[in-house]
Amino acid sequence: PVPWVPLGKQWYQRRVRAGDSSDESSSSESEPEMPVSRAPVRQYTSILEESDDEKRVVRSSKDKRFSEINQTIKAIRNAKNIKDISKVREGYDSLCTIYTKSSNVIAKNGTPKAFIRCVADLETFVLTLWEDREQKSKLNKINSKALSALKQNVRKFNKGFEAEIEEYRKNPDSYEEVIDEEESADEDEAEKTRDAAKATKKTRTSSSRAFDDDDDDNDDDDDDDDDDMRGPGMGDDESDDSDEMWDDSEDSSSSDDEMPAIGYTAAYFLKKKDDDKKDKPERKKKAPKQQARTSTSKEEEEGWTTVSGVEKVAKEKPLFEEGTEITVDVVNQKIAELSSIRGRRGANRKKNIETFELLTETCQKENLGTPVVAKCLYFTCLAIFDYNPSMSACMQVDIWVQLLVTLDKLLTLLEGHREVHFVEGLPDEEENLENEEKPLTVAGSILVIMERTDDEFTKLLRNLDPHGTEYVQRLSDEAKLCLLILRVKAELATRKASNAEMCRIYLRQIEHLYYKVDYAAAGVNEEGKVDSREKMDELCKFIYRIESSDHSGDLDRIRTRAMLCHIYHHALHNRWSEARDLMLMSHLQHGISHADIPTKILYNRTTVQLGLCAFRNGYIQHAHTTLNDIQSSQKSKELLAQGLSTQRMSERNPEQEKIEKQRQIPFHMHINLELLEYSYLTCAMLLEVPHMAAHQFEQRRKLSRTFHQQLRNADKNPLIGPPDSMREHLVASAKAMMKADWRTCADTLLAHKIWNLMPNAEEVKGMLRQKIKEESLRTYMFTYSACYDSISPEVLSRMFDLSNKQIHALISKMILNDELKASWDKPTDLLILHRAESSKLQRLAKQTADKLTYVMDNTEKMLGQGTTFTGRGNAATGLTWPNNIFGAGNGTQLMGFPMGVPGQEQRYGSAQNAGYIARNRGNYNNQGGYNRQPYSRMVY
Amino acid sequence: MAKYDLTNQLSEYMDLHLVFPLLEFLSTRRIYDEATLTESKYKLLQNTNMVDFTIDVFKSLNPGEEAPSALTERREDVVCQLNLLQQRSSQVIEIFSRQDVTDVAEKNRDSQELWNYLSENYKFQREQLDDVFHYGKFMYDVGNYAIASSHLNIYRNIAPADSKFYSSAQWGKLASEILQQNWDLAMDELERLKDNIMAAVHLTQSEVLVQRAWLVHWGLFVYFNHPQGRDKLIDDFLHQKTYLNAIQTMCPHILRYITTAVVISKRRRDGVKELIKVLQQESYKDPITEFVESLYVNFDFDEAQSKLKECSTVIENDFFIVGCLDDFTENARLIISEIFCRIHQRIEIDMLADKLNMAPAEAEKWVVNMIRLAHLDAKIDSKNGYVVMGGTSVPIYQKLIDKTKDLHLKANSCCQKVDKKLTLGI
Repeated sequence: PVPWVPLGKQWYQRRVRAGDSSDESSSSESEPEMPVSRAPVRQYTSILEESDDEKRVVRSSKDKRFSEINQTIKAIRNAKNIKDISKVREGYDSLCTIYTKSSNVIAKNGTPKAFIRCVADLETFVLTLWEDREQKSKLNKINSKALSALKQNVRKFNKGFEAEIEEYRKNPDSYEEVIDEEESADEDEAEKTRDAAKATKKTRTSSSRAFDDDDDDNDDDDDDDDDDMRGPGMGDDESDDSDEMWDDSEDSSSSDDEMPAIGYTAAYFLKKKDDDKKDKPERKKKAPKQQARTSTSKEEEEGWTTVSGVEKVAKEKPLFEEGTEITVDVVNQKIAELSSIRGRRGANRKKNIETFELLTETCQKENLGTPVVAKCLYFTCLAIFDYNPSMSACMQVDIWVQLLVTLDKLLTLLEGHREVHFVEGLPDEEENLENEEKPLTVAGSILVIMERTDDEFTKLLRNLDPHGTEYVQRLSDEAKLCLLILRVKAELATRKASNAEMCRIYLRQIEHLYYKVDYAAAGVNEEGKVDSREKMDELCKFIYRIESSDHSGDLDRIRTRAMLCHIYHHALHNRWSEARDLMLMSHLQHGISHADIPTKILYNRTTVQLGLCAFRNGYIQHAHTTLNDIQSSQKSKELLAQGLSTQRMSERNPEQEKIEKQRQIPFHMHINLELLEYSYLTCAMLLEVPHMAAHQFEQRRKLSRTFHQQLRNADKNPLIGPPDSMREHLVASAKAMMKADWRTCADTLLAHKIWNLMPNAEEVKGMLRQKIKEESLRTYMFTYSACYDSISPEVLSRMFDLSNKQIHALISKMILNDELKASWDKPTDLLILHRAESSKLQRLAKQTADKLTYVMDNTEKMLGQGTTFTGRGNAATGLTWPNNIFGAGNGTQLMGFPMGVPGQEQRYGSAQNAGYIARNRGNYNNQGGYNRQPYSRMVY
Repeated sequence: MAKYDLTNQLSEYMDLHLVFPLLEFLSTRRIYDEATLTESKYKLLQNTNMVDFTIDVFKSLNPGEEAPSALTERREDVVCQLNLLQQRSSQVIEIFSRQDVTDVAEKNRDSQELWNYLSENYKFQREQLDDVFHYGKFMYDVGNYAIASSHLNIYRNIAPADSKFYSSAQWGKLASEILQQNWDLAMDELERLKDNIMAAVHLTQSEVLVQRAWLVHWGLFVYFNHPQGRDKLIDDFLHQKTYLNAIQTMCPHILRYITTAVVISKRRRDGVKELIKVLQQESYKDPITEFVESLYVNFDFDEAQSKLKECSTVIENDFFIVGCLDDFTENARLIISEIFCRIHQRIEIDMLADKLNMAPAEAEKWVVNMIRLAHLDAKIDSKNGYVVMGGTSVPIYQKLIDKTKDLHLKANSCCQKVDKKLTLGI
């Protein structure tokens, strides 16, 4: 059922016969990328679309409607030929709809002949089929159903055109004629606007079709009969033999006017024009053109035949050489033509890329000037991006490499020719590719290309196995990518790009920098390396400095992301106060819930990194508060976009899962979740164990549920062996700490090798050891102070390996905070413990009193209005944990920016001055007030 | 002690004229080279119109040399300009010296009515008013703060709040009052300005921030000279979030003054907690803040003591708090002893004396005084030379009683409420 394939061949043969010089375009072509099982209908559609495209430049509504009709007609024909009645019916229905829709156009121009023809043919087709019992019985259920429905519809609908149909039946030739004229008129129009040398593919198609038409007009019956035989063959790559065979069958096909072959498009009717009106020279002129056309067009004409790629290249090159009149305009037209098929389903993307590359080469050879070459390269990039049909899929590695190379070429070209400008959103007509006097402009944006490349890179990594060598290989491309970004940045800067654009490229640079640990800064000194901190500061400050005059959301987003990256970078390098200051000053937590999801993820990452930074710096309380949220949520993987947690799989539908997968952060940027959890649990242990000891007789408020959960789980184990997993280590050390056995505690905790993942593992370990000593001492004092009447600080000092002074400070602190009932006796240098330990009766009495107060409060509340007493405070559990500066919401800080020194020239109240300082100082937006919100909240 | 000198940071937020007192002070402290100080003073002066003063400074800088011609020419200019401005504003001044105008001005608080009166009777123009401001500003530049102050006052009284120079006039007035050392008036101005900044809608947030920072700095003059200044400083800066934020954002060095004020203050307990929180967040450090931190955060008395010694040198060299030195030392001792006594049962007097930086006899006297004034629940064991603290822990029974004391009252009030509801409801 693919008559057009042989047609292509025939056309070619005919041309050879006619002695056309461009016969190098062999009729066969390899189709490596073509899915073998592609439905033929689709192929047709692509043809149709294509011929449609060519007209696109100048098209009235009439043309549009008519071409729509033509397309549908073609589709019907195709379906008819493969006896897919339901398809025919579909097509017919849509034809009717289009007809009604375009009724006003039709009223003006008359019913298109093609339409009448189709309708009439269809009627005949249906009736014949209906009569033919044998055929009918062969149809499957769906098709036979469709057939009867179609019959009904056709009869009903065709009533309106009886006269025309009648006329057509009488004189079918006149109909073809008229359509031809219409088409050629179109063509003329098109040609007026374009270069004559660039006859469109449609023309060619039509000419080719026209040639074949002579023989094939009448191939209906045979065609139908051949159906079964051809069906299976059409999916395979055709061998020459089969081609031949088909050819034959085609030739031998009957000539039935009423049932034209599939694939005969509107162009079908052009035959006469070619024959009658076109003289040979003109066609010759067109020939080179045609061959340079898109791969799609080739596919269309030669799709089912085979030829090697090399052959193709060899074939295409001469085309341009031959066309002496290849000018900027010609190339330009070609690009427009090629790009117009972008995104079409049938388009062969691989070939598209090759074509563009070829075009580039040719342009270079022909010395058509930098702008044209740049444009070609630009479009090559676009074609590469188009290679993947879906946004979610990642590029193939070879395509990716190709992309990098192309981009590199483009940039090199631009670097050599500073006078060429890419202008985004420039209409094609205003491009200036040649005129040296005016600024040379090309429509497009290298920034967009760069961004897209960067995104593709992320996608690529996301889809690779992070533990494979391939991942590492690709990761090494990042250096190249960064270099490209840098070059794009330089290009943009020299071309005076707008602030927003500069911000975008800066952001890209930042995002490639922020998550990397700068080992040089961490101590390993390498000569000549720029400190990443300075780099980061410089980049971020550039973005901060841009006033968002129009408050465009885009710029705000860039700023937010830059800030988050900046904070992340600070936190990663243990610059706790800088990171915290920036976080608190930036007000990010206010607006973050309205941000887009990638930004939210970045926010979560930043918060977690900040928590880890606090941990490394020994701010256990802050670290705990910050990390508590993410750890208690049980969704840390999702929140950080580092994979999907398994136990919740059931709650997620595949759609959601797909979306979440697309958000994943590449592996090399991950925050180690194990380390995160261990750090968090360590914080929890350091806080919770003394807390538990201090309040062992009271209903205690839990500081960390997760920690308690771990303890409970461990208690369930019937047999406790030596710790193995991370959690077991933790539980074991927590148990040791409860007994104030700091040595075991510290040894167990620090034995786990995961700490080595911390950039400054030894320092952190030292800090933790110290903390464990202190907290063990506290636990000890809470638990066993009742057993002592007095105790010497020396003993404690020996027990906990702390200096006398530290013991003194720690215990003094406990005394002052009312945690410990004791006092120092200086002359004997002993700690005297006051017997604060109450008897059971006293404790119970106290609890009763607490409960009574509670009941009282509730009663009061129930009674309504508030003649409340203030004496409630001391009835509470008496918990006075050091207030956490974030959680309590009084976090305040300033930004740590180097301030310009405004000099000694303040005049009173002059607003200019104020602005000056503000600009130097306040590189953030809206720093008038400071956050009152905890930032540690995760964003879901 | 130049390390802890804040003049550089402070002057960033000061008016030109306000820096001179600081420089004068510095030159008496002799922590900087006299010549460089004078040099910088000279540089500063060149930006003002105080040409005579400039010439004086120049002469002291370059003894025996004549003042450069530029300066003398400048003098001519200034005088010329002065006359011009004086002429232009004299009319207004004359109007204002009239009896009827003063009457109206006194009767009507509203500037609009006064304005109407003036424009009706004297054809008063907006430009004339601006002249007043310019004259005031010029007088300020020349160093004649009294006249500047009075002119700016006139301007501010008539001009509507949205006029161009309104806020400038206010700042100018504050500066003039400060430079004239009218602390009460300056305090009023400060309050006004504060309200103004609060009410300013046309300023962006960063402008507001900067204005607040200025206010904080200019206010230092007032707060440390006005009798109630210190307490007000705590209220205004430490307890008001907006100003605290401005300080943390723009000028953390102000924490020194807040800390000093808190230590001196009688209501210390309220402030200390807040202050500690702020101090822990900030990276700003100087002996004064470190002293407080070592006491309240680290409980390290040795360090506190050494810091206290440093503190006195810092205070001596700070223009604003130099007058608070004695107060500070006294109160610092009090704090140390207070904390010390809370965590100790028995202390040797010698040791206490050492911690407080006193002679033992003096310390004993001091403790006795404390006991007598009921600051301290303690007795002196004179034979052994100990101070013995009173019972520290509250017995559990007392706690229970405290806890349940309220219940009775509350239950009563609940009963009454129920009664009331019953009578009303049925």
